[in-house]
Amino acid sequence: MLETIAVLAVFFILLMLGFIFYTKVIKSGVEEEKEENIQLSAIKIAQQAAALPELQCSQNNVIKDNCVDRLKLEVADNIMQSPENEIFYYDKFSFSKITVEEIYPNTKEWPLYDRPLDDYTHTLVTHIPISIFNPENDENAFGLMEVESYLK
Amino acid sequence: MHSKKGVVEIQFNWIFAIIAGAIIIILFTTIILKQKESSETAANLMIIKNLDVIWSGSETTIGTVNIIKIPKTKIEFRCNGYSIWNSPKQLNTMNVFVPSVLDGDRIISTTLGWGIPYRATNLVYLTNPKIRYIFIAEDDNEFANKIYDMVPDEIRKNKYTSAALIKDENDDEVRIVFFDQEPAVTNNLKGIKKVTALKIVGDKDKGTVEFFGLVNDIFVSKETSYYIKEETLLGAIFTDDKEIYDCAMKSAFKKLNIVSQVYEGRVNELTAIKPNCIYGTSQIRSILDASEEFSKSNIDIIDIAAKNLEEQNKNLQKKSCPLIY
Repeated sequence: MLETIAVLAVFFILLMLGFIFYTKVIKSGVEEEKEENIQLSAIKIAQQAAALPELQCSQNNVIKDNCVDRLKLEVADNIMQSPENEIFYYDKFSFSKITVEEIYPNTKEWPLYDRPLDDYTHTLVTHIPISIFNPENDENAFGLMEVESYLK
Repeated sequence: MHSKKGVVEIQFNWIFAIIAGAIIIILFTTIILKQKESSETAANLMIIKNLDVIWSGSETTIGTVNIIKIPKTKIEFRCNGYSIWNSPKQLNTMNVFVPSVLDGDRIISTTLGWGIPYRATNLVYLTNPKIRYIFIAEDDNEFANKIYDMVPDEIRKNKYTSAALIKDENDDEVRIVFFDQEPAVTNNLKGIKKVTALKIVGDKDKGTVEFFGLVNDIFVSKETSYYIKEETLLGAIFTDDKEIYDCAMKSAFKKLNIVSQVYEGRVNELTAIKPNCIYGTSQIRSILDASEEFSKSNIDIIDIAAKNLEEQNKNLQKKSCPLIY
């Protein structure tokens, strides 16, 4: 009788150890997947921001990649941050901050979207090199689009 | 003869083994059930994540066709959202044209830019390799031929001059697109599980789309909607549900409205810095006002304004002025 109880006790102890080990493995997998999802979401936001027709340069409807129209930039910041368009952009960019910055020859910054997360723990920043085209004098400036994703 | 103590001990051993065995079986069953539940949830989440990636990835790359492998599942779409088993996902904006149900382990996605006349957004189309698209139009109908060619080759498609000529290919689902013809059911369609139809009346710029469902072997009109430019007509072909189509159209109109606001501001700036070039915001203003609501009358206004704006852009190019778009 005592032997049977001892065998069962050992069996349950081994089962418990196995279960604890399995839970730890699953937990670390979940953490890895969470991190991957966060990075994917940040890249997704950066991709979408770079491909906004509201900002992209075009000549006769032919889109120039990685190019932002300066005149569009001047008006887009107000439009993108207006309350009536808030939900539309929130669906695309969630909790993030998007800024376009001219680096050369002059320096200037255009904040386009900013919706911070109140209790965020860290941020993930993506920089996209872009040219800023000025239709007034047909010249290009060098700039960066900064996409900052707020994470919990 | 067994002693009384021995008999009690043997009986107790049996009871003990049964209880211990039952506990072990319950334990393992619980673990298996929990594991099954969590793997189902993980699979659903993976599909939702995949769909999000398809959506956002497709949105930024025009003209590509992707065949995405997903775990076999049934995804039900509705206006501004979808659900996989019991996992719903809400979307505030939906610029995706998709059948009401996608059942299977593969999704085909393709994207086209929608510009009237300036590009407002990219429209994403999702479908399933199981769905066969059949176009019914006269051979010399150039518009129908063009729309047929716009459907990627990766999607199962055929073209006939009459519904009676459709060959049975043992399909699960068929969507028949009639150009300037009343949808008619023929005997060769009666064995197919799901048949829907669309009647198109219009041209490359605009027109009406009438959605049909099969009730008692007869095509019954559900409702009529409208398209503007071939890209949204393609949306009506991919979407078998008028509610989903209208929802995607409303979302596209909202985006057109925002982009028009940007172009109006840009033209105002151009007017100030290039006084020798003749700009005007009246056409953009018309598009801006008309894009507030998706309706037939607004489509007519946008169509006229877009044509005028195209002309205005050409004139600016002749005079070497910065273009509007």
